[in-house]
Amino acid sequence: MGVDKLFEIKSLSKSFIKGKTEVSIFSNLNMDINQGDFLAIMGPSGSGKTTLLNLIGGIDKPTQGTVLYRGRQYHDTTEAELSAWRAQHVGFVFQSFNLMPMLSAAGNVELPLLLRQLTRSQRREKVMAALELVGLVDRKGHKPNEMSGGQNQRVAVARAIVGDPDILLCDEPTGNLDRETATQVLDILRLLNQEFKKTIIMVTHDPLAAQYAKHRVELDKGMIVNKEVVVAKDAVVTQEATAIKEDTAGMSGELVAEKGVVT
Amino acid sequence: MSMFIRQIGAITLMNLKTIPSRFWETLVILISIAVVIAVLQVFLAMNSGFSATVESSGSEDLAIILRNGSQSELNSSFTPEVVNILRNAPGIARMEGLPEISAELYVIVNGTKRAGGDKVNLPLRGIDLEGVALRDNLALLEGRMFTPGKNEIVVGQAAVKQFSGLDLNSEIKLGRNLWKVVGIFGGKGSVFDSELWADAKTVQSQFNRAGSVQLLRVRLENPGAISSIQTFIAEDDRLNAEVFTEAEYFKQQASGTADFLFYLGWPLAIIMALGTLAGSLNAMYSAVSQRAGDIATLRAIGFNGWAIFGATMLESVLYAIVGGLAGIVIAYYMVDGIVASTLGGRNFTQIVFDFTLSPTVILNGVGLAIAIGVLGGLLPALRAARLPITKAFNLNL
Ligand SMILES: Nc1ncnc2c1ncn2[C@@H]1O[C@H](COP(=O)(O)OP(=O)(O)OP(=O)(O)O)[C@@H](O)[C@H]1O
Ligand SMILES: [Mg+2]
Repeated sequence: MGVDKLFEIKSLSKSFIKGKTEVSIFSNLNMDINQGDFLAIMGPSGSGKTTLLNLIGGIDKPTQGTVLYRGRQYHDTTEAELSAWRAQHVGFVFQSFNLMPMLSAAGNVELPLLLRQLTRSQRREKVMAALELVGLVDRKGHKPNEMSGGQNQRVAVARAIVGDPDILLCDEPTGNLDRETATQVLDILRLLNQEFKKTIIMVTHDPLAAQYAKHRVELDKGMIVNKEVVVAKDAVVTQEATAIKEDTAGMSGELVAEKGVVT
Repeated sequence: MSMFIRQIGAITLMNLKTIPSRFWETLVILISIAVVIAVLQVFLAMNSGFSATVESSGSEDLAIILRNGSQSELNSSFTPEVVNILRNAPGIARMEGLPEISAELYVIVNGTKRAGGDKVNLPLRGIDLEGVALRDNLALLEGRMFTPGKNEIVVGQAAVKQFSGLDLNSEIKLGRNLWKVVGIFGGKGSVFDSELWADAKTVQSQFNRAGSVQLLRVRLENPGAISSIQTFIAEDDRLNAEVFTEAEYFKQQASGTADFLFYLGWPLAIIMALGTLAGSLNAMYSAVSQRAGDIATLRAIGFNGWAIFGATMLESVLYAIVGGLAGIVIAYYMVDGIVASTLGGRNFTQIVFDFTLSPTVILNGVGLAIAIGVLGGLLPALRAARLPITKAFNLNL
């Protein structure tokens, strides 16, 4: 029914060299992410959530396997091409905001626009629109250390969306926020997903955040142990993924995960 | 391309905004670059001032005749017979039938610096009034010319300023006898400004030089006439002499000292620059690792690694240029108006000159500063550009 696969993760393995031993984070991971999805990646600390997000965003390279973006391999292109691809298609929201401390809110939000052919006034306009969306127009001149965590995270969201990317990659976007501000940020993400048709991939271990997603996938010990389709905000259908080879296509048609192998 | 430059510009601005958090580190780098450049500037200013003084003293219309191979008038000597033969050489200008020629001798006498009281060698030139006439741009500024046959000297204005006991009307012991200062002469930045002049015959008798002279200075009929003198000398076996235009002669004389200043200044500056280079390399490395998280964020957003390289280089070069310009200004205030004297090349006598921060000198300083900036920035900038993004995030955590 015309659902486009945005990312296809195929037999993806990632390991790090620690001292003399190779430590596997995950191996043989398979998963499709469809356009327009709002996917929550969950799992305990150290399970490789951030690593997976970084791989999808092209700021890390697979040890083995591939990730396809709209059917194309992109990890083996040059650094410059990857940068250009990210500038065009990807917005990052980092767990610890990663705002430039010396720039104002507007200055931070403007950064991705510096990578576009835009005039100063066009940039200004877009910056104001993004700040408007996250409700921070009145803080445009404030530097990160003059704002609260929730405000900083909203600036980070504005920065991620200002260039109108198709994909938002969010790493624990509510990790540092209290409930109320977390809800504000999540509402913005839902708006972006539903109204602006952004594909959102969000790493979180916050159950509240997970309820905003359309799908959830749970990583543990290097494998996808659980995948769920979120039917409504508080009604969740759970399906064990550890029963390998089970046909998940019938259920969602959108999210396919297979058991990975820990080495 | 323009976007690439915009990236560099934006990143450089961000980097410069972090200076307050690395204020002292940055200041130390600026100061050390400033010191290096200031040292270089002082030496090169000496070199250029010295060369300018010596070169402006020489004329193309005058020729100097020395004994063959003597290299400077100090080692040269002519007997009266040889001088008489040379008087008849073709190519020498004549006035009222007489050749315009000055037979001069040159002795070293002791002097004392006004500042510090150091003993120095001063040149005392024995000269005829004809010889005085062969210095076109010199004039008597005070007092009168010496009287032939008397123990009287006239003193160059630079010598009066630098060395004690040479004031007008004072008496000074030179050799075994007292001499009276009867006049002060001067010309625009000339080597003669550092000399003492007296009557040639009196100097010959007071310093036991029985009739011999060291150098002939002649006016040429025209600047090309020097070849006639050369031919004349070559064809006469009794003459063992060589001839130069005055300009050429001074240039030769000065080259030793000028080279010395040049080849002392540059190595000294380069050795100091190496120290500074290590310092600025270190500072840039620490700046880059301090910003690793920011750099990674920019890269994740889509900034180009080479833009980060360019911005880091630009930052390093900007520091170097600011430090270098400060060094030039410091050097300017240090040497502006300072008159120095130094051993005048092969003559081992004092030549007085101004420091000159000429455009070439300044360009050399700016050039060295930029070189320090480029070399100091290169490796840190490469590290910044190639920083694996995920690693940088981990560093930041
Ligand atoms: N550059 C690296 N070098 C070596 N090991 C790394 C590197 N990056 C991550 N790891 C390791 O890989 C594992 C997974 O890390 P990752 O950050 O993906 O986990 P996570 O699921 O995001 O955890 P958290 O919930 O704490 O953020 C961890 O054990 C981590 O120490
Ligand atoms: Mg993480």
